Amino acid sequence: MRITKLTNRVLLNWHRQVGLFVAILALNLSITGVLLQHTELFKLDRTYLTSSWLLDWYNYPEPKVSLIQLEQQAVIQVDDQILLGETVVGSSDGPLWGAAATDDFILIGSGYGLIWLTHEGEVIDQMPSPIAEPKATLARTGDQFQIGTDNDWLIADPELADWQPGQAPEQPPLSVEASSFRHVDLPAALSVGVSLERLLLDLHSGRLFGSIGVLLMDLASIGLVLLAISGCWLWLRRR
Amino acid sequence: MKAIITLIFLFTLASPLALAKGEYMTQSAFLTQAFGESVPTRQTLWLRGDLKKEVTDLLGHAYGKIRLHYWQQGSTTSWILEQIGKERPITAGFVVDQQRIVQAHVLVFRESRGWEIKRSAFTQQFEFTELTDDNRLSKHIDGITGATLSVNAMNRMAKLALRLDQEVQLTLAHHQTN
Repeated sequence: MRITKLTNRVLLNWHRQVGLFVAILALNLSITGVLLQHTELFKLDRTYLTSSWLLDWYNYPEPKVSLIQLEQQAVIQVDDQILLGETVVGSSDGPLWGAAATDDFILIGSGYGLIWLTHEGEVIDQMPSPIAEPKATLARTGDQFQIGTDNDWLIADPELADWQPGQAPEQPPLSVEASSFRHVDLPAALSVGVSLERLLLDLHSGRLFGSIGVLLMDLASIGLVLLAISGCWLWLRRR
Repeated sequence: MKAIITLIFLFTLASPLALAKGEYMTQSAFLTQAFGESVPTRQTLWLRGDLKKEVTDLLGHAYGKIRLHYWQQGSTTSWILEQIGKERPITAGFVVDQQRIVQAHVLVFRESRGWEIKRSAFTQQFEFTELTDDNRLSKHIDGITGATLSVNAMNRMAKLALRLDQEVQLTLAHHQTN
């Protein structure tokens, strides 16, 4: 009888101490687990984090960024995605090489294509570029867009359906500048950086903190199993 | 050793990921299949005003661009449309005749999952489908396990092709009346 009481007291103390250790980790497991169960609902796979410390923590390779500064906003290329300000307006299979703005429209040239859009970032159309050379650039004359190389220029009709040879543009083309990923404000929906889903998965498994984190989560999981057993044991004994 | 490398290579080619992405049909091949050798001139339709609102309601979001291209011959129109499945746009072609889809093809698939929608067993389901008054497809389209988002994207594009065809036919009828 005395031995049983002693065993119960030891088991109770052990149960409390393990419970305290496991509680914090179990809280992490539960919260991240519930969030991960509803990835679609919380848009975890469509939210990307780009904090410098997080990218450094993950050794995330720095994306290539280039930009063209228009009068009111910038055209930015981050890897294969094209943005007007903070709005994603398209993707590209090659580098950004030109952008020009008239009073009503903006034309962006990247890779082999052109993106025609309004100043609000609404895409009107995407089309193949009539010139696809590395030296090509975009400019404007009045309300008409022009595309060309050093000496040869084409001028577009208002619908951008037909390009005819023309004079050199009134407004000189804007230059493409290389920039740093860390110096540009990027929207969370841009699929560049570490996704929230990945971060929560790594937090859930403990991998965010390397092998120590994984070991801690393993111990917490084993601890939970032992707590369940010791809890049942103590409850049955008291009855 | 060479045999092992060849086997690994063949296995990689046969894996679902290798099958997933790619251009399955070119635009010209699609148009030739739709109209034969005499492909009509490309025309444009602008999404403005009420049509833009209706398209937004139909898709549940705004379409990716406001100037669309189509090809028309008599009562037949042909549309090349894009919708995002999960992350990347899927390009599909639809041929509409007498306000019913007569052909549906996946032209380009860029996602890593859901490529099964390219199979003719799936796309043939859209044939003879119409748009109901409450903007639904007149036929039930069987889904594919593991390709729900791609199937949803195809359904949205089918509805859009039918609605845009209606718009073109209405405009044509209006011009003919005047």
